[in-house]
This record gives sequence, C-alpha cells and structure tokens, in this order.
Amino acid sequence: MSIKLLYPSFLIIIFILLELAPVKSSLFGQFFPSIDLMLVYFWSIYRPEITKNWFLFLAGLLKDVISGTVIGINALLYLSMKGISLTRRESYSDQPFFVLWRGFIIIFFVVSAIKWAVFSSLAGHSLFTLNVFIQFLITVILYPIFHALFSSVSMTMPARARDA
Amino acid sequence: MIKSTANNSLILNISRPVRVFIRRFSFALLIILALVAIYISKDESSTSLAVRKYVVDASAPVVSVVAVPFNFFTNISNSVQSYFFVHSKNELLAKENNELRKRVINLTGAAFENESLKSLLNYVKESDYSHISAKVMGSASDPYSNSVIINAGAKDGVRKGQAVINEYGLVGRITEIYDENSRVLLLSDINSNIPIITYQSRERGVLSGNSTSTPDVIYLPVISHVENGEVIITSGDGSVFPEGLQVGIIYKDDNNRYSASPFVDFKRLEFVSVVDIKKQENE
Repeated sequence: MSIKLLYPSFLIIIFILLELAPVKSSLFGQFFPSIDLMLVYFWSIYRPEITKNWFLFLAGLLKDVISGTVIGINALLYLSMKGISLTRRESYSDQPFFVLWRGFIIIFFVVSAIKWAVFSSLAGHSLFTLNVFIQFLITVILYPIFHALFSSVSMTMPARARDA
Repeated sequence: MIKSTANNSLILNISRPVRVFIRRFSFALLIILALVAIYISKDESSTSLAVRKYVVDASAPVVSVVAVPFNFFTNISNSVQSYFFVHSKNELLAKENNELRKRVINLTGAAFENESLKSLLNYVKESDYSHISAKVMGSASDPYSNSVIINAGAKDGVRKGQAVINEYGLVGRITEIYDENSRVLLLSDINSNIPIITYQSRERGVLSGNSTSTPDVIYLPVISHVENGEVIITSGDGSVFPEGLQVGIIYKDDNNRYSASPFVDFKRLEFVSVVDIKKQENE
C-alpha cells in the first residue's frame, strides 16, 4: 500500500490536532471553519475506500476527547457526513465544481443540524446562536479554497487503492 | 499438527460470516456505538475522564509541534498588521493611559479611605490567595463549547472548580484535571454559571455563558438598582470562588435583560493564574 493513500487520514488527524492549537483561537476564535468535515466530504465523494468507517469513528472520538465535548458526538458527525455523502456520490461524480460545492452546503447543513440537535438535547434547551450560523457561513465560503487544496493532494495519489 | 490445522480452518469458517456481517453492517454498528458513547459519557463518567486525561496529556506536546508552521504564518501576519497600524494603536494606548491615570488617582483616594475605615473597625485582613501560574497550551472553542487547556495539572496542585484569572480579570474555572494539564471552562461557555455581585448597587446574580462574547446576567432581583456600566465581581456565594475577582461590566438591553462584557479577551489568552482557594483556607 502506497503511503500516499494515507494522506487523507493524516490530514484529518492534523486538522483535529489543530483544534487545540492556539493558532485557531487567534485566527477565527469559535468561528474556525469545520475543515475536518470538509475533508470527510471530499474523500467520501472521490475516494470513499480510503477513509474507512472505523478510522472516521476513532478520529471523531479523538476530536471529542481533545475538544472536551461529550464523547461520541464528532464520531457520529463524521459517520453521518460520510453516510449522506455516499448516498449522493453517484450524482456528484464527474460534475462541475459548482455542483459539488452546492452538495457540500446541503450535506453540511444537515450535519450541522444533527450537531445542533444533539447538543441542544444534552443541554435541555435550544442552543442556536448567531455564532452557529456564522461558523456555518465561514465553512461554506472557505470550502472552494480547501477543495482546491485537497484536489492537489488527490492528484499525487495512485488512481485506486488496489493499484498501489 | 493436523488437529491444529483443522481447528484453524474451523475458526476461519466461523469468523468468515462474522467478518462479512461486520463489514456489511459496520457503518450501522459504528453509528450505534457513537450514540451509546454519547449516552454513557454525557454525565462525565470516571472512565471518560480517565481517557481524556491520557489523550490530552499525550497530545499536548504533539499539538505544539503541529502548530509551529501555522503559528509562524500567524505571527508574520500579526507583525505586518502591527507595523501598519502602529500609529492608530499608539493613539489608542495614549488614550487608555490617560484613562488609567485617572483611575489610579481615584483608586488611591479610595484605598486611603478604605484603610482608614478598616483601622476604625479593627478589621482583620484576609490572607492573600496563592496562585499557580500557567500558560495556555490550546483552545478548544466552537459555537457549542469554549474551553482552553493550560499547562498546569494535578502535579502542580490544580484542583477541580478553582477559579482561573489573568491580569484583566476572571477567565473561568477548572473543569478537568490531567497529570500535567487542565481544562478551563471559559465564562462564555454555555455550561458556565458564576455567582456575581454588582460593585456599587450590591445586587447579586449569576453570570451565565451563552457562547457569545457577552454572557447573560440572570437571577438579579426583579426590582434592582443596577446601573448600566457597573463593574461586576465574583460574589463568593457557594464558596466555590473567592469573592472580589473582577469579571466585567454589566449592561441592560432594550428588553430589560442584563448581559456583561468580560474584561478578559478570550481570543488572546496567553498566561493565566489558577487561584488556590484551598491554600488560603489552610493558612
């Protein structure tokens, strides 16, 4: 197996660890874009065989532990992101970028709604604030930049996992 | 030998359908596992705290290394910004300096008056709190949670519930303790509730985080004499926090709801002190 096939997993771990880094706080504060969910969406559309379900589950648990949230929430969000993305994969493959971006906006909205529902049910009241909406907007607006970055990483990888 | 081979093939035969089952239903199984984990860990069980303890202590040094290139670019950007905005910043600092001079003059008078009154009342001075200094190692903030990790933990004598301050005022409280690090729940977090008192009108309430930069002030008396712009400090109610720690300034909105603007800028936390209330009690 080529080490290049580990790039997506490596990137997900890096961005989860950056969750803790002070740089995050100084750049965007709590509006830091959900780069980890962008990664899960991108690789679920292009190479779902690389980001395994068990890996996403463990990566989600790692993020829960690091960010101090209830354990299991991010694991659920990563798996939901992949699961929903896979159902739309056929209609998104070989489509222009605009279609993929629109797809991300819709699926990220659904996943954000799941996140809001879980946190609100744990708190016992609705936790919707303007900040939730701002973070959603920042993530959606910055998606094209990260899509281009992930595409360039994807170019360096073997065409299929079995070819490696 | 033949027996061992037969056993192996039997295990393979049994494990094959299990493996097929797991492969086919792994997604659903993992979703169920995640939901079970949420259900189990929502009450902060000792197991989930133990897991956090090991993972955070292990990942803190890795995070410092991973963040190096990102911090490098952030520092460059900050340097460029400060170069271009040095003039306006200088004006701002001069203005702030004037304000502080006025405050010092007023406070000197108040301190003198305070000392005189204390001597009249034979007031016994409380012993000072001891502090544990720490550096902010990381921030874990999103619209649903606001906390930071500091590099002082159980080994340094940090305990759960202790107040954390910096040079401007109250930052938050310790919620999780690891061996070498601890997690500080910021005032802005939705789970943060701090008993406060207004400095002049002496009205008691609770500062409740709402994940914005202006936490709500709730449970004030229905008929209160709180004025806009009053300073709020910790009341010491519940004996969790020491009293008198500066928190922020209280404001009333058009709907007669109170909120506070904390003195601390949570985006720029670098060094903090953990207030060791227990030590004070022992002294």
